Amino acid sequence: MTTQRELDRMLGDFFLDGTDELADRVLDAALDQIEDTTQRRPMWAPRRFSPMNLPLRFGMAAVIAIIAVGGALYIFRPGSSVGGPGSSVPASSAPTPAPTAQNPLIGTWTTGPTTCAQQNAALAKAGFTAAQLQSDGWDAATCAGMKHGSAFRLQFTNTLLVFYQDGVAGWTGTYQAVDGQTFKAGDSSTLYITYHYAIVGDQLTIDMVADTLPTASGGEQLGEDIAQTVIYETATFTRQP
Amino acid sequence: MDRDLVEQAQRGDREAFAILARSHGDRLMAIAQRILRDVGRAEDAVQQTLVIAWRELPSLRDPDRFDAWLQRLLVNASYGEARRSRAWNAHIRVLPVDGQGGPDESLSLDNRDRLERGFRRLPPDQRAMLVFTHYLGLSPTEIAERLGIPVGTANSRLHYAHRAMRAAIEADERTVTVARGGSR
Repeated sequence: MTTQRELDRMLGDFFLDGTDELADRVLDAALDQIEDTTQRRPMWAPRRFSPMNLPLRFGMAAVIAIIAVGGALYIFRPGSSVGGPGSSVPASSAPTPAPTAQNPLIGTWTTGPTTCAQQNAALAKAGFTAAQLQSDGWDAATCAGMKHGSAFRLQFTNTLLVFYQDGVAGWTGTYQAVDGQTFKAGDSSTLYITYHYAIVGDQLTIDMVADTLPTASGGEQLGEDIAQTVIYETATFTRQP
Repeated sequence: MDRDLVEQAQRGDREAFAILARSHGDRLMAIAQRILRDVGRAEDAVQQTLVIAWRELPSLRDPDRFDAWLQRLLVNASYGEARRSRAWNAHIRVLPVDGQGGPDESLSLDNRDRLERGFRRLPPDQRAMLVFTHYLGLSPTEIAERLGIPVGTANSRLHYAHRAMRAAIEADERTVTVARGGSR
């Protein structure tokens, strides 16, 4: 029987052997390749983390305080049906409020038909250059024959995310809501794509911010990024009943 | 120093990135070769990692985490290399690995051979756990953070990797014992 201590020692010794030096030709090849590689600007960069100036900070704080105080006054106002003495409706028959802790993404969200101009605008807003788009075979005149579709639908269940392009299921994966503005998705046990989202009323906007599972080639990754941008960022999604 | 270079490289400075690549290249190679057990595939994984790192560098939010981020990219690239050559890891004739320092005297050839065969049977994610644990000396918590996986997953992978390595060693020991017993 091999004890854990013996195994640890054997493995420690085992890994002492091996190559510890990267050949210059490999480094040079990588650096040559980098000469022709454009850095991918994160889509979140220009839109997020812009510093708030001082008056705006105070303004935001004041608005939040007013909403908080107003909400508290509303809930605890005299005659409120929430356990108040003036309530004429028995508590047991009062309508139950919807659970607020539920994942707000769950449900079906759709865009209307989007135009090629809208898709091009989304790609430009996300920071893709004309050269990048061209290298992926994206022609702005036809949006590559609208190859990613026109109308998009997202279905979120507790764990699954399915998106449809013009009514056809294009991808099924798993996802997880990280917080009130972030969810992650992936097509395996690894949730490798991070999205930011915002829900206002029945409107959902999504912004793909990172893809941490590198694909085999730069070309594949670029095509993936373009598709993601077209599908998720061309238009606002509307919640369906 | 790294932080300044990373920030410069994030702004598109290729010279700064070249310095980073030179200073981190050897370590990346050492890790990849130990995971993949193949110098050629390890070189491919490192080259791919450096190119992806350059391309994705602007999305790295904390420049101080460059090293950990780079290692995560390397592990993902190594997984890709391993997937592309799934058949290579089984039924392979194990040859001694020539390291710069030569084979370690404290590990017998029998044991080295058993470990090599056992290791090559492991899936890439368990190999990475063993390398990060026994070569880099990181704890499961540190590895989980570095690879972006839950701590429980890291512990579980390490547990199964150790179990598989122990089983490989002991199965080989039994085979050797039986073979020697049968030859009497």
